[in-house]
Amino acid sequence: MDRIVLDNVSKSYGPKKALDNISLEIEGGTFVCLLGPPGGGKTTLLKLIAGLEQPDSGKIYFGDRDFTNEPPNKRDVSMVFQDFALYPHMSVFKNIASPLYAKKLPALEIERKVQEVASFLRIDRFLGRKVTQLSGGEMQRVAIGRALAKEAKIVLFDEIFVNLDYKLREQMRVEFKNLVDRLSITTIISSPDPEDALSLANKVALVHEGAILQYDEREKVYNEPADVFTGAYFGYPEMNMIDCSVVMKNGQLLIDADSIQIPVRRNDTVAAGAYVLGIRPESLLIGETLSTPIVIPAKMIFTEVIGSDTIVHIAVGDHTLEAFVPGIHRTVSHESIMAGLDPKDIYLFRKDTGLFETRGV
Amino acid sequence: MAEIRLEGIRKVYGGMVVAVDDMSLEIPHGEIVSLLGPSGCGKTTTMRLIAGFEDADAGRIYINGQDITRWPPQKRNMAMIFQFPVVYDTMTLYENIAMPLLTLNYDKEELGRIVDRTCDNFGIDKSMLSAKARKLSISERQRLSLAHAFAIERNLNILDEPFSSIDPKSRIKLSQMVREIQKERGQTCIFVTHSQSEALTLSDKIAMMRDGKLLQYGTPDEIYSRPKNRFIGWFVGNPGMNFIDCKIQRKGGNLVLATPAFVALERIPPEYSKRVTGERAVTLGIRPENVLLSEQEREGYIPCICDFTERVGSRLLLNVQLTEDVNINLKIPMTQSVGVKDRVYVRFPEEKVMLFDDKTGDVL
Repeated sequence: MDRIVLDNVSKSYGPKKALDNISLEIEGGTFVCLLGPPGGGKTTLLKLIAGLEQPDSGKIYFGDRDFTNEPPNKRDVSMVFQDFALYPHMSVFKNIASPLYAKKLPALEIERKVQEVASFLRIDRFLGRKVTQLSGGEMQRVAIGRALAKEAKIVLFDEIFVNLDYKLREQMRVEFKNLVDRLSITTIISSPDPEDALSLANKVALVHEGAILQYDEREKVYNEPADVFTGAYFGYPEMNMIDCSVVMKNGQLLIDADSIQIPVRRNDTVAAGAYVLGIRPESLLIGETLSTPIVIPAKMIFTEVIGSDTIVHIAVGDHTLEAFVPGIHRTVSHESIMAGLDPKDIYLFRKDTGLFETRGV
Repeated sequence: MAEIRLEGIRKVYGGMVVAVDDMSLEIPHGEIVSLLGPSGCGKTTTMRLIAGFEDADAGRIYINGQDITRWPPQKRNMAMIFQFPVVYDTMTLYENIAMPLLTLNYDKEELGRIVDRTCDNFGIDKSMLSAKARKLSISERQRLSLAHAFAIERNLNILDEPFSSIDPKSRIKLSQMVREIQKERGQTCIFVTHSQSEALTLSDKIAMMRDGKLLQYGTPDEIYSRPKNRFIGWFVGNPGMNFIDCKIQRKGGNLVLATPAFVALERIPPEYSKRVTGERAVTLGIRPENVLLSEQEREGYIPCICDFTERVGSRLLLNVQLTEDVNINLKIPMTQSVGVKDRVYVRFPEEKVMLFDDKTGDVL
């Protein structure tokens, strides 16, 4: 399968720079998630790959061939839109068949291909229905069916899980993952939700303010986020970020964030200076007695139950931190508690540049 | 001080659609009660009936024992906060907060004190009080409309999806404020939401609704741990409860829970043994975090294949295949490492298992 190469690509809408000189190389067969807040350039990036937009400068290659100026129908790409963009007055069959009608295939072949895709997606029962009679999950499958019928090797999905209620999203993520696993295609989804990136993709590209902050294996982005923004954004709940300084005290380096003091065990991991200390909510333990190397007194502020887990907001000195605790918990506000963490789980970013320095000290 | 009671409330639209059906509910003074359920479950209609925006076709509504079923909305002394905050743009912040108090003949000093306290409660910058409300962001507007509602004591504050249009960061702050002020003042609230997280976080009790009916009324913990039917077990929780269709069969002298492919439980859990005494079909329910996992073969464990894994905070969510048509979710600590296609073994601890009727879905 061909790789996709974007080489120094820029795109502006009027005075607004949607993408500013980005380069990206995606190997064939990869499942990539473009992750980032709304308005960062994710959809523009997809549209450029699909050929629905032309770059102002830069080149786009599929394999070694320059496709920069080729129209969408010459590209081996199909795209599924956030609102699915189905034809409401047409049947499920005709919606799926629409790219095949455009290719002017014989009726029998269209029939066969639609049946094949529909049974693969388990929507063959609905082929005669109008799409307005379908649920959100079924409409998503029809939209995917239309993209697959085209038999493109690259399929783009633009924020298809947004605006769905959480139960539907939960089911659709599972179905979607199973589906992509069975296909041999290059898949690119865009999403503002780190959970989509965490649960679905092999590789993650952080797209923010027209730039790609990091493109790497999912685990690598999680463990070594390129900068403060990426670290905070890629994770749910967001990483706790605290300004701190690394200082030498009695021949020992120490991370000093007022109420939080963490000795640096190996002096070669980090130099003295100003940093941002990152603590993932799942690395911050709370309880009455803790066995972690660092234990700090804290006060409960508020508990927030998310599905089957709880985010506990605590005050440690002047800092407000979030801890992720499995299960449903209710706490008394202002109650005293201990917070614990292991220095091997912390992140340090440089204060001046925001860039990643190290994980674990 | 207000306690609200609904007795057999019914509302039918157009003689056809039963929006609310024989709903009875008691909301004690000073509690937050959430109406939770999927779209179309009747929660919004119930709220509108309580507020007096709709007339009930049957049933009665009481405030502190007084029948208010036919009272007009303005007489009920309730405040409403909507998803999109109602703020008077051309008025100042002070006027927006003070307006509901003007009819109550407070003297100017007392009025000032109430506005002052309300600002403290909701984190409204007092130096901004004389500014027009026009420039506020949506989360500031919602704060202002909450301040407006909570400024004085009423019979009931009705919160209709008040956090849905607010960014996640401010949402948490705001719900925390509401909870604290509501407890401090002892005000009774009804909270309408489709978000299980908000309901579990904010409520003293949750009224779980579906198809116009009240399915269960209890504390968040009761709703989560002891759902009265499979729908609730599935709807609340992320992901929801697992369900496996089983048969209760006689094996030796014992009753066991089994599918054609495996034995799920060697005996009926003691708490069900009085109600389940013979062979029959049942649905076994268990929450993903309660399924036990072993990487090695063990006595009493069922072999399965891991279909996919997903990270959820500090836990790993696994989906495993027990048979061709039985897949379940598990949540395990990150310290256990399981990959896709790995063979693993699971067990259902009997004290965590719930049994539901195979047809009605109600707990046995």
